[in-house]
This record gives sequence, C-alpha cells and structure tokens, in this order.
Amino acid sequence: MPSYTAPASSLVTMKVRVDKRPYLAAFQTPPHNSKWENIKPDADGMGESRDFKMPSTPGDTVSFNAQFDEKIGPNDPDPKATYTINFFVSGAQIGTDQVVVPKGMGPVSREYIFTAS
Amino acid sequence: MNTYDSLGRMPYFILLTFTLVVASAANSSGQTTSPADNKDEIDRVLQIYRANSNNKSFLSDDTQYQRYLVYTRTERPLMAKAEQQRIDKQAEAGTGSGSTTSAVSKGSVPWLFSFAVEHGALTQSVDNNTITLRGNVANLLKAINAKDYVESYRKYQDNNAVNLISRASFSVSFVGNQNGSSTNNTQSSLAGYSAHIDLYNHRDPRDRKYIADWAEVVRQGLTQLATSVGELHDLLDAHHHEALQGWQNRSNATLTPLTTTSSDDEVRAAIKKIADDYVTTFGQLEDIRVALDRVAKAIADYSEQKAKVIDKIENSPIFSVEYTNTRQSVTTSLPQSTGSSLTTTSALPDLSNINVIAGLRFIGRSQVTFNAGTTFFTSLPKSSSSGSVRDWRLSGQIDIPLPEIPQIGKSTLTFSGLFLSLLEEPLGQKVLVNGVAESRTGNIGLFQAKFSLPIKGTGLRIPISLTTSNRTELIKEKDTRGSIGITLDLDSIFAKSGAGQ
Repeated sequence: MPSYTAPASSLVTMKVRVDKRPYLAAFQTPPHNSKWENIKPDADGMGESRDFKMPSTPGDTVSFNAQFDEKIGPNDPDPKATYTINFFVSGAQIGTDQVVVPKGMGPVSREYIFTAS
Repeated sequence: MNTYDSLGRMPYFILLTFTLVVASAANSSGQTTSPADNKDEIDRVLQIYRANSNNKSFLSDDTQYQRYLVYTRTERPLMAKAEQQRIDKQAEAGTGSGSTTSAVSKGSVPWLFSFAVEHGALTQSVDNNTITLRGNVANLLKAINAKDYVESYRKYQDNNAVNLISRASFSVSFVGNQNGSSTNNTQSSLAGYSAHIDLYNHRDPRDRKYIADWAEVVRQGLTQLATSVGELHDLLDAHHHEALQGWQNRSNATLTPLTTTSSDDEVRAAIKKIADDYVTTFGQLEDIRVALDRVAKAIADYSEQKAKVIDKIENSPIFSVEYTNTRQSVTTSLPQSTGSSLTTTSALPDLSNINVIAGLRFIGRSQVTFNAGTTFFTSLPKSSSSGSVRDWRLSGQIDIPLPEIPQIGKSTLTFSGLFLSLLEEPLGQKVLVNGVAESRTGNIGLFQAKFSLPIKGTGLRIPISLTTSNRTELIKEKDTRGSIGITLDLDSIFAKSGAGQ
C-alpha cells in the first residue's frame, strides 16, 4: 500500500483527477487520526482537492482508504478510467499515485498511510 | 381470425410475457444476473494488477481482499454487482437503405463507424450483400487531428461545439456479391448513403448532465464503502496488529517470485494463496463480524445507488432524424419490379427516405424505439405515371436484455412491428416481406421476434429472427419465415488495438 512521509503538523493537500467522467473516487471519512478540510470538487466533475492535517508527534500516522470506480461508456475505445492522485505540502509535491480501473473491475481499494516526520 | 392464427400467435405472447417478467425481475433487484463468486474476485484483482502495470502494491494491500472475505462470509445475493449494457446502438444499415433484418432504425450510432454485413432481408433487399459504413464526421476529423483514436475520445469530451457536430453522423452502403467480394466496377458498388442527427441524446455516462448524480453517489454510497473498508482495516491494525503484520509478510513472500513476465495462471495462484490466507487469518475473528457486515452492506448499497444513476441515463429519451438515399440508378443488378413499365435501358429512380426516430425506456430494462418515415422517388422518368411518394411506414421495436450466458455474453431479445402503406409500385428495388417481393399497393403489416446472440470478445453478434406478415405476393395467406445474419461492430476491434496506446 502507498506510504508517504510529511512534516509533523503540516497540512497535506490531496488533488485527484480522473481522465474521463464520471469521477467516482471516495475516501474514508474521517481519515484515521485526522479529519478532512477544504473539500473542493472540480467544476468539470473530473476531480477534487482536499486537505488533512498531520499529527504533531513524529512517527504518528494518518491513514485512509480510497475507493476508485468507473462507468465506461459502451463506445469508449479506451475501456478504463485512470485516476491521478498527487499530495502536496505548502505547494511542494510529496507523493503521487496512479490508479487504473479497468471496465467492470471497480471499485479498486487503496489504503494510503502518511507518517509524520 | 381463424384457429391457426390464434395458435400461431400465442407463442409470441407467451414469450413476450416471459421475457418482460425476466427483465422486470432483473431490474427490481437493481442488479444484473451475474453474481460474483470467489473465482471472479480473484480474476478481478488479477485484472486490476495487470491494468496497473503489474504494480504489486495492489496485491499486497489488505483492503483489496475484504471483498473476497465478504463473499466467503455473507449471502451471495446481497453481493450481486450492478452492470448495465446499453442496447440502443445499431450496427446494421438503416431501414431505408436496402437489406436489413431490423424493422426500425435506432436513435444512436456507433462512435466512429461500424461495419455491417447482413444476409437476408426484411422489408427491402438487393440480391447481393449490403455493406454499410456508418461514421461521425466530427469524430473522424477529431481522430485525424488528434492522430490518436483513444486520445480524441478523451480530449474533446468538453468541447460543446464539437459535441454538437458529433451528433451528426453518416453512412455509406456498398453492394458486395454473395462471396463477399466487391464488384469490379467501383462506381456501381455504391448502393446509397444516409445522414443521421441526434436531436436529443444524453445516454453517455460522461455527459455533464449527470455530474450531480454521480457526485451524490460518491458522497453517499462510495464514501460509505471507503469508510467501512478503512474502518475494518483500522480495526485489524488496532486489535490484530501482529496477525496483520504476519499476513503482510507472508503476502510479500508470495509476491516476490512474480515478475512482469509471470503468466496469468502464476499471478492468479499467488492472489488466491494470499486471499485464502486472509480468510484463514481473519475470517474467524468474532470481533470483526460487525465491521465486515458493514462492508458487505456498503458494497450492496453503493452498487444499488450506482445502478440507479445508470438507469436514469438509460431512461433518457433519444430523438433523431435520418435521411437515406438509395442509388438505384447505378445499381443495375437490382431486381426489376414486375409491374414496372421501365426497361433495362431506363435508369431506375433513386429513392429517398426520411425517418424520425424516438427511443425511450419501456418495462424493466427494456428499450422501446419508434420510427415514422416515408420513401419517395427522386428521379422519376417522364414516361412514368407513378406518383413520387412510394410509401409511408410506422414501426416500433422493443429490445429486452436477457441474463448473461456464461462464456457467451449478454444476448438481446427483440420484438418489432411494422405498418407499411405502399402507395406506388416499387420501381427497381423491391419491397420485400420475408424475402418475398410486394409489388401490389396497399397496406402491409409484419411482426418480428429476433434473438441477437453475441460472440464474446469478438464484436460479432448473430441475429436470429422469426417474422410473420399479413400478406405476401406469392402466398395468399399468413407466412412465417426466419432470417439469420452476422453483424460486426468495428468499434470493438478499434478498442482492442487502441486500448494499449
């Protein structure tokens, strides 16, 4: 499972995009050991941005489950949905992930873990 | 109506009633008929692993195996997954252009183009096979410009102007001989052309119209699923940390030998070993039962909510207009009307057909399509006393998706009816009913039952039809005949070649 490190007490911003509608990504609410802030869906319906705060004690973790799904049109020549997930702290990227959901195989489960440094 | 008629029609009503009940039952549960089992779940994880470039982190994630545990521990009917299949796409020639086994035109067309070869006619026919190319001008231009078929589909999904143009499509029909090769004279092989525009069509799940609906599914069902799965993971991590760590260590050891060249069987065996270990390690823990039940419920709830949005999309009506020109003047091999005064040296009049199409949801998951159209002569010779309007027609069709047949795919049962008022004798191209020419003017009615059998993974569908009509020219009573053909959707072929790009 994807694991990353982020400075203790920092605000981590997660940005998620899918290459085609519908955007079918959801996240454990609240994340373990933190909470979601500033949840902003993208206007085009193909992504979102949200923040969570890291614990103040180095070594402590924040984790959350993510589910990625698809609904591919019957005439789509590319029968999969690709999600790109980027994590930022103060504008600097600290991690990235990509999840491909083949047609009819979703939702894909993904557990993300962040350790405070 | 005599006894023969009553008995002859009864099987249709029985079959119609039965299939509508099946369709309603499938819909009432909100699910389709293919319950996942543990083997399916192993294959699903395998497909996810392959699609993600053989990334092993998708196989070592314990949350990936919660569904496998759920399938082991909970009742299977609760877990039926929601998958829908759109049935409003037509890969056969429209009703106005020569031979076809469809009584009505559908309101939607294949995305780039499709290629259909049929043998056996319903309302009109030529002696040779008809090959139809159906395409979309805007999408063709986009594909050429983007130089990538897949990219073009994605790149232009939010361009309103291009999407508007994309609603217009065309088709060109050519005549091939019985062994499938075209004639030597390429000019004479063009049998006709058509233009089609969707005035209203919102059956694409990418449509902006459904952003709010999908967002609500994410906010409720999918978030609840992520939360339930995450909480079960958190519970295992908090109360059974050593067992979870041990399982992860064993999983990593199982995955170590796998390489990018490992066969599907090797990967499948590894996934099954890991999944079975997950069930053995955690399946008997009583303190996770409640959390596991929440996962099971969340899977079912999400599946149901997603199915409702898909139903809404498939419920969306379609309204289209279609124009078809049949070039009889260059297809001299067409049979002559028996009542025509034209000689073989006279040019046959070209035919034009205008068709209005409406499609909407019927009972259960079935779709109903209505057509209203007219066919008229566009180039009558001066010596002809014929009127310009050849016929008026009304038709309807019900498509009923049937439960999936393992190893074959999803088939469709279709019932269609046609009322044709033939005002003038056909000049040139015959109006056929069950393969028999109708040259006498008057009203013609027919009813058809058609079973369309897909060949899984090939893009091929085999339509098998049974038709009855109120009259024929050769037999002065009811007549019933069958027709069989092959339809090939080239989009499927392009999808396979383009998917890897």
